[in-house]
Amino acid sequence: MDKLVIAGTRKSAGKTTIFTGLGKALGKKVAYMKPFGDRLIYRKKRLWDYDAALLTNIFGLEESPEDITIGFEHAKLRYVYDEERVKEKLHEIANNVGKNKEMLFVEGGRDLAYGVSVYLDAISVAHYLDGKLVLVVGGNDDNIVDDITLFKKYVDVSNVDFAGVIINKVHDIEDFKNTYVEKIKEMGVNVIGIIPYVPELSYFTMDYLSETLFAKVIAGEAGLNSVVKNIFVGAMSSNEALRNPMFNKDSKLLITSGDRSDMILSGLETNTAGIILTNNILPPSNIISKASEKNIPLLLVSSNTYQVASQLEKMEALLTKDNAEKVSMIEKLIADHVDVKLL
Amino acid sequence: MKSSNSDIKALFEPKSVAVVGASSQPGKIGYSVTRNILQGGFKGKVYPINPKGGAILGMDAYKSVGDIGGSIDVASICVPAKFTFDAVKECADAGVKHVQIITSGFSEVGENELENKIVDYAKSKGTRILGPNIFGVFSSSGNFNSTFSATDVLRGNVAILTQSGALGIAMIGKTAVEKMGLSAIVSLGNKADVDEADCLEYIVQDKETNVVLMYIEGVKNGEKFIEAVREASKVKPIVVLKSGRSARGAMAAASHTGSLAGADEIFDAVAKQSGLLRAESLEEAFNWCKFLAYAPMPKGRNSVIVTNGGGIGVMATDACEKYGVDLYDDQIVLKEVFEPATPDFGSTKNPVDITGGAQASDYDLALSAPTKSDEMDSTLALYCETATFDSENLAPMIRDTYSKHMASGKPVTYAIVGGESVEGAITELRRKNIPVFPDVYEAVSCMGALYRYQKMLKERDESVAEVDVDLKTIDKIIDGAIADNRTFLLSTEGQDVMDSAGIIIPGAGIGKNIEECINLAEEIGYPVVMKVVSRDILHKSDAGGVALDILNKEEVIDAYEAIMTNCRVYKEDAVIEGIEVTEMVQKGVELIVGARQDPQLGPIVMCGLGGIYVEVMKDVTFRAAKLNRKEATEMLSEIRSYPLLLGVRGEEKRDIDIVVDTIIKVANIIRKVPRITDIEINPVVVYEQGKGLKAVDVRILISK
Repeated sequence: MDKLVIAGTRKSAGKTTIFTGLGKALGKKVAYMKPFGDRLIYRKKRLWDYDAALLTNIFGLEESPEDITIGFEHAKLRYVYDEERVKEKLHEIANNVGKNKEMLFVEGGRDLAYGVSVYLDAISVAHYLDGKLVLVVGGNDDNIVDDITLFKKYVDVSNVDFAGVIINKVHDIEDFKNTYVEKIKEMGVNVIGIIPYVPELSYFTMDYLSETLFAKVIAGEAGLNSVVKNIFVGAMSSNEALRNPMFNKDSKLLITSGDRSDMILSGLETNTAGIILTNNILPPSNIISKASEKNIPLLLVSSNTYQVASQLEKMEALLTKDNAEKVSMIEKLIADHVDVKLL
Repeated sequence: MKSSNSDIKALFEPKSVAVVGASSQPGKIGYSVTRNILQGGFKGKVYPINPKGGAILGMDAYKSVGDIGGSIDVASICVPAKFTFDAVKECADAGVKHVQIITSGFSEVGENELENKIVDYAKSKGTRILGPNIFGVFSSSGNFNSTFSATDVLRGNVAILTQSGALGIAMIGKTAVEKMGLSAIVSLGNKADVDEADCLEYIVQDKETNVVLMYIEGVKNGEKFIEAVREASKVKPIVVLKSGRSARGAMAAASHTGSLAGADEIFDAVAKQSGLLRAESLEEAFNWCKFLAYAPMPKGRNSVIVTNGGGIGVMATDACEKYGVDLYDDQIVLKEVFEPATPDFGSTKNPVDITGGAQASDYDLALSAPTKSDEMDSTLALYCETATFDSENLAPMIRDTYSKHMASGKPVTYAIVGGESVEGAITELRRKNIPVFPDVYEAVSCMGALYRYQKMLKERDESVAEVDVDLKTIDKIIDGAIADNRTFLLSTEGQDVMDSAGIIIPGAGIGKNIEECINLAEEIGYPVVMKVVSRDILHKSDAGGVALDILNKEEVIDAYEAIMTNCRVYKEDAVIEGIEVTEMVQKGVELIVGARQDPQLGPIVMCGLGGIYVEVMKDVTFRAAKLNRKEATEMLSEIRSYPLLLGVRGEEKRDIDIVVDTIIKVANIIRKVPRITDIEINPVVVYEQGKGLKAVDVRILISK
């Protein structure tokens, strides 16, 4: 069974997305594991990684997501495992999940260094499992080239089969190809694929938001599948908001306090995907009814407006298992832009 | 707190008054004030002050207060705002006891600095300030009218303290029309110094006053206010009309007088606790005042309704339930008493229906009966106009039966409904202060107010529940938090505070690493709960920082991992002190017990249904924190979910006594530790009777 370890140079490089697309593009029976989890879900005393849960679902795997991650937190891993135990555990999981499969996908941590002190960084994992290492690099063009150059210059991959890089989220592919690809190849790095930036992949739904923010949905449940494309913080009078071009962009998410009836009504009357009501303040019932009528979700959170805006700023639009449209989009992207033969 | 009684008395019964800004020109405020003082029958010395001198209303004007030479009890300032400080300074330097500042243009328009400057200077000289932004003072005992009202003040037995000038002046006119005489009316204005608490002290002792009406928008010194009204309501009934109840109303109050209206449900609770009678409207307040001024206190709670119509009788019954008026139900006695006055097709049940054919004489018979019966203590008389009634006898009948009730010491109210003759009777009778109303609810609401006042007097308990709280330990904890630049206590600190007051908390400790957490869990005993301890994470559940029902070592490890990971994602730079491992409490009824330093009313205690939906359910009650056991028990019984504590669906009754103890302890903490601004214990898990409770999660905020 071939083993493919994908590492990212930075957080959110797109490893999970690439696995999602590769699963179909390769046309093989695939298995999946993520030794060092970084998107923890803890429910009913069970721990599993979000990406692990997503991909077991997308690939139709039988394993429980809890069983394909060793741990999430350094202190716990140090307490339970030493290097030998880590190796043993990696092999144990690989053997379990890899039965009757042709290829094992192994997802590395959020960046190259993540987990190195507990023997679970991507390079160590690739070494222990004797797998092929692929590096995913994303960001702006300068970051991409810097990361690849740093990796090539200073990282020792002599004990690992390094297959090359997949460059992700590139805004202008032609320009990038013309400017940088030759230089990268001259460094002796294989360019396995260059994937363009697709804005639709960064959108999230109101349903996703309600889960992420632990929000209570108080109206408009039918609209929870609405996609958010813009965000507007309603911190001015509704008259001023209506004059603001950002307020009138489509599929906006409006963030405002629950007692701002004027702002909420303005949101309900314009193109709004959903409204986050902050400070745990419920609006009047006639406004809740209006939102229900229009199927515009109202999400109630206890944090204040600033806290919510900050959280959204840092939030990633993770893929969800129900989003078949996004999954198809990703499969096509990988098929069109990644030379899977090199894997 | 208390101003000396003789000092405040000088404001109402001065022996000398100066009018600074007196004028000889009609239409000017300085003219109106001077005229009203003279025409009001004031017997003391009056000194008009005008820098131009001359003669004002037949008196020689002084050019300044300093020229007077004698002592002055009250000075009324009628000069523009820009001259007011100098005028006050002159008065204070001359030793004037009370300065009434009629002038507006101070804190109500944002000029707080000038207002504070005036008050500070006056205080430094021992002078009290009433206002600014007022219309003056009227006092019947002092024959003193320093208002600029255009209407003569009708004398009587109701005293009014009002924060609104316009409303107050309008009330002078309305009371004259209603023939509701005033013993005093004080315009409080901006309450920069003298407030209702100061005035109440004098007013309730004034023999001319039978009842007090207060119109307020905001309270500045809550503890002083509460103490004053508690004392005052022992002596005379106090009716309060407070505005700013709604969100918009509160905004209007803020811009009107710069008053913070505060949470209305808290005011409502404290008003009841302090013995205030809170009216919903001006009309209701006036009705109550007129009634309370003259109505005798009933000897008991047995009320009887006498009506000539079934429909209005039912309405009255509904109203009695709404306003807490108990209806007498002994059918045998009712029959005995009312049979002579009731036709066969009528009813001697309560409401007693003497039917639509009743004449004035029938009414006279029916309404005289309760005055002779020892079983009945008050009467509600209802009349619907009929074609057959001898309407010219309506008013005489009411006068007569009213006199009989007064003679027998039993209160009575009348609700009469009909056309012109009825309306005429209402107007004529109300002018004689006979409690006749065009609406049955108005009539019953007055009786309800009287009974509420009576109940309050009877059940009054002045004791305050004191408990020992280890204040030294608490202060030390707070000092530590402040040194750490925090305005809240960590959960372990909160638990130490609970411990200092003897409030039971689950076994707990903080582990700084996995090993310590495991050791703690094994020491406390499974199951345990693990919670993050961090100054940067207040809402632990939202951050994924709580793990429940941990049963063994492996689960401790997993939970530790989950909490640390979640919290780092929630707030990357959060400083995590460790993980608190606590005993997992068994299920019980979850309550919330809390307290805060209310910016208006001072220390307040709260209890209600707890748990994570507390802010949605809002099933909480409030009291001022200076409370006794009876009040704490009452506030608990008022929550809608109280039946859960009594035991439902076969469940055992819960340990209510210990909940009351906890409320009292929390009240003591908030009163005795002013640096604590908020306490919230949620949930307080209450077990069966005798099995106590556990204060599971404590949040305490402090101020530096």
